[in-house]
Amino acid sequence: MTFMMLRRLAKSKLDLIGYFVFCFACLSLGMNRSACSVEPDDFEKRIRPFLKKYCVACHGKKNGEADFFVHDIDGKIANGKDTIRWEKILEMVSLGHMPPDDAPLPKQIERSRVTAWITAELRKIGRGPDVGMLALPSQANRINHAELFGGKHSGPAFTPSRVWRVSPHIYSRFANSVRTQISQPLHGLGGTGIQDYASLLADESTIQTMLRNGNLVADQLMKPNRAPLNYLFKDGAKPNQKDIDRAIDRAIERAFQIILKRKPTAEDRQRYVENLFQKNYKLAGLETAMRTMIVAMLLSPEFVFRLEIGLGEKLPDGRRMLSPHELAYAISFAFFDQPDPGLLQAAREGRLKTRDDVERQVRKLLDREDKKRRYWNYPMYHLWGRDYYQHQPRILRFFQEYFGYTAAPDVFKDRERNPDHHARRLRKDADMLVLSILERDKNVLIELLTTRHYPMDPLRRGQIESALKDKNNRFYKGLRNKFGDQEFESVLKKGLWPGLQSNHVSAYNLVDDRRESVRRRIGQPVEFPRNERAGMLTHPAWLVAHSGNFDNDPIRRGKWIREKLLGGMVPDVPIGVDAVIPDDPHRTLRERLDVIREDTCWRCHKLMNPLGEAFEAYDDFGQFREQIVIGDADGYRKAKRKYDHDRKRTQEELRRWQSYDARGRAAKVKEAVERLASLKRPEQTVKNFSAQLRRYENDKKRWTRERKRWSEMTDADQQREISRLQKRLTGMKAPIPKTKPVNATGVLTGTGDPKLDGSFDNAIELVHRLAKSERVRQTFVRHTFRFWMGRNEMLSDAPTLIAADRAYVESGGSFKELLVSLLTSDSFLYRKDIDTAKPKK
Amino acid sequence: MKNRRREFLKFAGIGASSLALTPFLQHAETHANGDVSALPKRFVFVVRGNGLRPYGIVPEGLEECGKNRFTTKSVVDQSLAKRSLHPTMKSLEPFKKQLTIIQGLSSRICKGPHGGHFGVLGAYTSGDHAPPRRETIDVTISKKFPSIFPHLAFHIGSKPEDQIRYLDISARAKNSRTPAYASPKLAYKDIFGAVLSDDRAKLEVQANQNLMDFLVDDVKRIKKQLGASEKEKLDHYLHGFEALRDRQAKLTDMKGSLAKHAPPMDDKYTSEIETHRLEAHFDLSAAALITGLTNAITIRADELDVRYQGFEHSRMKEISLHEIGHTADTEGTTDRYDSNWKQGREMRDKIRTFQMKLLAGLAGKLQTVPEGNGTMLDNTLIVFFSDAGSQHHTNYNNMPTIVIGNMGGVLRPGRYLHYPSYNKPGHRIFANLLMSILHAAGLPGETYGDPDRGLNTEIDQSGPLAEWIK
Repeated sequence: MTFMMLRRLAKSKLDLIGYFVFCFACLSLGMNRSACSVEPDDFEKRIRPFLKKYCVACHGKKNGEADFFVHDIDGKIANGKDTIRWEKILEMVSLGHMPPDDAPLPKQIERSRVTAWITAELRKIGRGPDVGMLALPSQANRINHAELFGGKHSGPAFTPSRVWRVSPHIYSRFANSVRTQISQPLHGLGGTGIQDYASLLADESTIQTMLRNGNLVADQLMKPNRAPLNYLFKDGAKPNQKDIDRAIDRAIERAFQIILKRKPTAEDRQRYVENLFQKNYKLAGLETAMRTMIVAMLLSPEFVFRLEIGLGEKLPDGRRMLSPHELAYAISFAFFDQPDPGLLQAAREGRLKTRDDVERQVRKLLDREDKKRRYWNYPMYHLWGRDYYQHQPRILRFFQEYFGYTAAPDVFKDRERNPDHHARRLRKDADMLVLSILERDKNVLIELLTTRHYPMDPLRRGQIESALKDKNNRFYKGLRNKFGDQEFESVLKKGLWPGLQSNHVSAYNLVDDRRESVRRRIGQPVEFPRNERAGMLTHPAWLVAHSGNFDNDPIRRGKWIREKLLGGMVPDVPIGVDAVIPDDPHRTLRERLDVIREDTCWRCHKLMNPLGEAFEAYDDFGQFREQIVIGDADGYRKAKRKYDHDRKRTQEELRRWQSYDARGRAAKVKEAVERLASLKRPEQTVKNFSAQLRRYENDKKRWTRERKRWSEMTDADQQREISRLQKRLTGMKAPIPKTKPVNATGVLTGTGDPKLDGSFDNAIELVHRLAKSERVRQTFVRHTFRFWMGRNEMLSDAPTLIAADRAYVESGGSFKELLVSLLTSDSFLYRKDIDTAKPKK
Repeated sequence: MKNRRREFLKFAGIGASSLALTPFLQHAETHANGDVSALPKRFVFVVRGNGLRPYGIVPEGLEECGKNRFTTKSVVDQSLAKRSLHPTMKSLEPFKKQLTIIQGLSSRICKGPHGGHFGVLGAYTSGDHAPPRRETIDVTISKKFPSIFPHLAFHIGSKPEDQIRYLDISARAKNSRTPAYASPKLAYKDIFGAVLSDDRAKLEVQANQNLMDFLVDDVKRIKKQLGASEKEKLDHYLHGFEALRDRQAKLTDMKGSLAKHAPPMDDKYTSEIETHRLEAHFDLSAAALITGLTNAITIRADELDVRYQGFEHSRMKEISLHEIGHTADTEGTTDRYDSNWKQGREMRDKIRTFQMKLLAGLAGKLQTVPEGNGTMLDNTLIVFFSDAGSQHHTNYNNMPTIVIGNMGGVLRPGRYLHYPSYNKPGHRIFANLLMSILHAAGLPGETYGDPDRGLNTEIDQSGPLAEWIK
């Protein structure tokens, strides 16, 4: 829907937008304006020779590779001829995917000239790159990485004056703050990646829902004797006109304070009171007037949009600083989903005017600790997808959207295949991983990509003490049920928890035989072998989020790495391609993917598949594996589960029977006798008499049976049962699967960094190499920039990006320093009307 | 043809230069053109809680099909023409030719003990409190047949003071529940506010108009401070307000036709008794369809907290629908209330009879309005089922459904259809019924929603119900 709206917006014929697109195309290719200038005879002079030199050899009349020919193409795009072909050429040349690496390559300036010419020609017939689409974060990598970090561009950096529609989180946070249950009228960008962007819109259906929500909020605020606006609506009050006038004034002030977080100015009072309140007051009375005024505030652009016009000091180059009030909002929403009272106060008191002021406030916020909780003991209501981390929610949200692991619960996995799979718990684990690394704030990106210490399955504060203190405690009982007669108590006394509590940890290959490794203190992560896990990309939550319903998805995994770590672009799937991976259970997924190693597919897929296939050492539930089960893999999984279950049950039963000597039997008889003695027939007068009676009778039967059974049992019976179980155990045969060894090798190409390119043996090696790379670090900085600025980077933002990167490196990989640098940059602080940049015709 | 149109418009007293036609007139215009295929199609989804018991909907002579453990190897396909309906469905006798009763469809992708919620109408996995994952079929259809109100929804809640409730069975998009009118009074004001003679209500409509004017000015004021590209963004917002204002203006223009069909505003609209409010919702739905204000309606007919206080039954005044759900209604069983199973059946029958009467009332009103070569009912589909399938604590093995309408001859009604049970050859799922409805709406497709992975691969989950569509 949002994308459609952006497209619709793009189709409007405003000159300025056309110009903006054109500039964007130029900027994105790293050109100055003179290089963009287009002459009428450019086709013959520059374009045809380019095609002849770089394209015709492969796409000529004789050998049209991939059924694509350029030998007969002419320059009359504006006549509507060959549009599709030109669009294809534009895509390939601008992304640098053509000519291929092994052919002679054109210079950047040549590429720029060709793409600028094609863009301009396509635009004449209303086609070409779509402004709405280009503004999406997924397209931001089109801007040349080397240009951004090369140091050529010195700015000045700014963000165009703008309005930024509030995020769904901000809206619902407000509703929570006034204790109203609302329906969410707003949505993010959708898909994967960053969701809250300045290019989002609000339309009719949004307004309709907001109107209804507005009425609900008004109800809440106007509740007699309860809510903040109760001056007017006290039960039975009969105020005179003077009182009413004073109360109205106070109510308006209060409503402003609650909704818009500021005092009304004289102009506001005039507008709201004269243009709305008084009209409705005369028309329909006090209550309706007040209600409509509250609704009006809740739908005013000031509430629905974040206004970042730049009302502060103006610089000679036309840029304007954000005003203190604007800054208070911008910084608040950088961290929280609601305006921070401290920042608003600072703005009011004149302590938020300069860059230094901003830095002081940002550092203060970053150093503010969550005194109540640490990363491992946030409540679990996150399981239903609600925000639970309210300390600085935007920081965690950045990592959630960047890595995309929060999509794990959206990937439907059949419960039959793996009943232990619990995606929401995995997502929570991944959240804890991020928060734990942020808490240390050292080498954040490297840690995120390479750590092998995963927090999981959180313990509650005081859980160990509770279990030790009281044997009827549910923690103690849980441990006794899980570990039987093992000496878990001695482990508890050492201050350690003896095992993991949730079955979902099977995704980390954690099962009973590795119990030693999971004994841990409260908040202590679990350590994994070096060859098994490395950081977020081998975390089950990320692997599941980037998998299919039945198998891995190396293409999406590869695309993620290409775009989010390497800053590259993968073209969209060509229209009409109906790629079907053959369904052959006797071949591994990698073998079946051979179909796309053909030239036509491989041109794009070589950007993704080799990277994604490195993660074949994990299955689609995130479990590490050295062998891939082929044939009926699900059937094997089921049989293995049954075998493990049966074996465990039988072993437990055997252990139990071995303990039933004469003393054990006597204890059983005693228990049954005691139980029988304690049973009481319910009185007829009690509630649910019939059900209670039924329970009483069942219990009576059961314990009589037990008493008989244990008192009649002999040693011979016990021995017979023990030998039967032993025989059953020896007769059990583990299912043997057909397997093939994992092949996770691959070659990394086309990164533009010779240190990065090259072959690798497995995902661990790949991830470690990526983590060390400068390019990966800078791409991470670019994504951070997009999230906090709410827009794609421009070449003029180069100084901001370079400074942010330097701050991160010099601080030893501190994410806090990176944020301080971004939030005190010109890009964040200054606004400029882009109309003024329009060239004279 | 053109002449006829001109004549009609002349007759209707509207010049060729008139503004955009109101829906009622559009509809009348199509009628004048004689173009039946262009007539709008209307859909009403009525969803009750607590399950729709199979024994209570089977017609005479097919009582065997109403048993919980009934199985069949092939589809039971019986005409309703010579059979009388279940006594609780007597009110639907006049619509027997338009009626289809369908059983045996499963919806096991849904989860939750008391109903599949969004998952039923969206055909996707859903939990007890899980937010919606995608839009549901009623919303999809409403986009195909837009009108002044693209989609109207009503909710009968347990609290009379509720104004708006968000449905747990219908969603506009991921994480976005469909808002529904819980208060019939509010719905009346919003939909038929223009015709109210009540001064108070008229004033509120006017106050709302003032609000819209104020907001339009406010957006324009901010717009002045912005550069051109950002103005576009606010324009979008502004257009939203203008559209709403236009709607209000259109509704005022339509005052005449609205007044003719608007239900009288009586004490039903303010009653504390749920059944009265539900009747009001049905009246509003019928009027909104007849005036062409909307083409898609979703009604949540009850929920587990509701008490059916309006019935002459001592027990029903005390206990909620949830507790009725726990009351046994199968011969020979007892329950925690020690009630006779006959009492459980009695209570359920009362509710069913009442809901069938409401359906019949709605269908009857539509049947009185001529349209094309028939009546409005011919282009309307009323779908009635429970998101909890066939019982209070459901297993989604059977989703009994009652449908009224033939959708301009696309469907073959007048029948009782019973499909083979879960995982038996010939079994069909609820999504197949939804696909049939989409097919009738002109949105054919081979799949809808998530497939049921628990079903054998031999069982066809694609396409509409072949036995039902022509």
